[in-house]
Amino acid sequence: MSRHLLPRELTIHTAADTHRALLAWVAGLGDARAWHVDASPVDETDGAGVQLLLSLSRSAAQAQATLHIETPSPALARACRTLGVAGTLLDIPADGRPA
Amino acid sequence: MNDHDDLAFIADALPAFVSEGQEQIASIEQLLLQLEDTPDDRELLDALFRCAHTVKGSAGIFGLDAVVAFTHHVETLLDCLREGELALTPEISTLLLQCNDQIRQLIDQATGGIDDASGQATREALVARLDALHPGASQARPGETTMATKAADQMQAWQVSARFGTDTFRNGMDPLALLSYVGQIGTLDAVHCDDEAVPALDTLDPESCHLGFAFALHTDQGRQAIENAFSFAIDDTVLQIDEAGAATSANETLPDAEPSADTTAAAPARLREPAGTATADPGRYIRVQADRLDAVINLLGELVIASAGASLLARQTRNGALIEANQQIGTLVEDIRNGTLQLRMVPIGESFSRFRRVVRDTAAELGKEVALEIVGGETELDKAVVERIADPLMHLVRNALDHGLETPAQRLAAGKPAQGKLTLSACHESGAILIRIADDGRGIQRDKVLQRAWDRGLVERGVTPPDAEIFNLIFEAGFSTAEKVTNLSGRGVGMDVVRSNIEALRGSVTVSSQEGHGSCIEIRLPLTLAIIDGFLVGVGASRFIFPLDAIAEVIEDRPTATALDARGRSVVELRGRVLPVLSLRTLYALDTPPPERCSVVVIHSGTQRYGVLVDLLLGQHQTVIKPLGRMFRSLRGMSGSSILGNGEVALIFDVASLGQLAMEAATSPSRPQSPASTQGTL
Repeated sequence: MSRHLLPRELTIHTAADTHRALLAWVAGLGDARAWHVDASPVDETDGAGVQLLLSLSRSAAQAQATLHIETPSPALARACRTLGVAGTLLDIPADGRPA
Repeated sequence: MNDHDDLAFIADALPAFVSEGQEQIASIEQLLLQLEDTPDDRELLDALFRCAHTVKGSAGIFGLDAVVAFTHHVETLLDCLREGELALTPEISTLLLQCNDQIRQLIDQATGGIDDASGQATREALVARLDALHPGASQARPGETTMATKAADQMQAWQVSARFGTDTFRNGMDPLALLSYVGQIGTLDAVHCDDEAVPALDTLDPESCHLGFAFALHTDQGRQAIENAFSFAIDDTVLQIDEAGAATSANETLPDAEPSADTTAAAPARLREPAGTATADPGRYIRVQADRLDAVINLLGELVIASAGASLLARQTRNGALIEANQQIGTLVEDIRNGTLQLRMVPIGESFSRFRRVVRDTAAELGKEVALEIVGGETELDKAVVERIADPLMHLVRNALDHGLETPAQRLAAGKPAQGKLTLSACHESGAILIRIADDGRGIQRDKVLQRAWDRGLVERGVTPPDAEIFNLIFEAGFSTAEKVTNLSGRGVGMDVVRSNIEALRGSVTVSSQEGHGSCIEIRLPLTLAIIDGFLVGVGASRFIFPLDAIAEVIEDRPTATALDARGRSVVELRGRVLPVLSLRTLYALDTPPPERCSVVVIHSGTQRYGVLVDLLLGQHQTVIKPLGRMFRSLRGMSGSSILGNGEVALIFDVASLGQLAMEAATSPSRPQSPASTQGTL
């Protein structure tokens, strides 16, 4: 339960489902100080998908937890760089190479 | 697993790409031809660039590297044209048209065709010519932004901020795809995502967009290009573009998020891609697969039949209100069916405008000057008809260019303007469409045609038929009067094929001509292939339908002919002439005793005339054509089936092949029986 696996498709088409899944996961985390998300399966994403991760990151901040989006797939890393959120979400420099 | 999914996705989406690509290619061609008249039209140049860019972009998604690589060179040249660095001369235009042909070939090959060496050689030669026009282009690799080849002093830095509206995602826009696209027109730098407005998960509507972006953009393309990038989302987006200062050097810019094809691929192809011109023109169209539409039309056909059955039952109850209600349903169903058939209608103009290119190239090849005029391009007819008429039209247009129109010198000598005129027109005429191909050339030389017809034995020597008949002889097999056989026509094959193709669509073709003043070919076609005016007849318990326009006359109530051969063939006398007749009962082995008296339906098919013996004449019938089931495919003489109001199936005759069955009687009566024996009762 501690590590949440993101879906293969993280886009507007799956946003509602992913959102529900994330809410359920967060609800079960309790007082955990570190939230771990496995981002390796994501091979398709878009602005809505990235926004969902930003929202998750905001939730984590509100719960005074740290969000770790781990092993981001190249597709997600690229999207985050393009949108200028690589630093916020992925702990890699904005113009960095894929992790 | 993911790879597998990707492959499956690509395989699914590829046909759509090919069809869209072909549309873009067609647009490019049209735009190039339009630009020949107005070479400085900035909007056309922009549209042209967008088309090429879209082709390249979508080809990238599918990993069609050959298309990307080649199109890239074209795109680069188009960009120069757009920026006014080059003027569009006829030579460049021709070159681009040739390149466009190559792109079309490459796209066609995407579905499994094999690239031949000659194609590659042609493309290499074209690339060399493209690069000669714009030497810098050769260094740019496909996938790179074109800015790499630009001089540094053209670079300009912009500070752009964009806040997307709440409905951005719902409207099919994707900020990621937009930014990726912006990354292609220049170099993105210091992208900052304004995520202040993104709420926490528990209050987030995941389908609303709360994102804003600010970034620096180094580009040589000016404010308009940046605005254009956002033009698809402009209604939702608060966009601010500021000039960030003096020109910067391209070398200083960071090689950041490369706008590779992968980035675009990461965005779902279902979302509208910003580079796509399909969305540039917000024409209110929905793209529907033709077979889905056909399925609806089929269902509606069933509905018509079911509603006819229901009103029959209603009448039997003698309940006035029920009958009336059923009638109303019936009327509505008819309206819906007609409306749905309308959905298959497309303007013929698209098909016509393809000929601009043909006329341009063919005329140039022949050293002729020809202006093409298109009239009535908005006339609509069934898509299937449009597709199948294209080839015959092409042949007729080439023929007019080759044989009809003269060279400028000949025209001037004949006192005509040097430029010839070819007119393609279409209009509706009493439930059919009339397509005219008219030229103001030398016309058909009546005497020559007649002489040739005599020589070939098409007309008895010395007999001179009326002019109209003489002209129509050019559609006879093996007829050609061209003195010189050219690449294009004159081989004596073609015109007869043209006619049989048109007749296969239940159309007709005639030609008129005035020597020295030009000729005019008229094609009449039914508006749709899905519904015909039929004539319903009965033989025993079976029902058959003839296309109404194939019926010359009906002889009612005559004694049943007795002297039938094994395949039901015989002859009767009609006004002093021998008419071959065919008994459907014998031909299709219908298991009912013949009535004492029968009727003869006289059919004309092309030049043939024959009679069909039937028991009952049941009158005109609006016929929805359904294809024959697999069992009946091999059945000669039939073209389809239809379901009658009472649920019975009626078979629709193909009058041409039925005619062959009737005619064989006269020529080879001893030939073994082929189809009838396989048929039981129908």
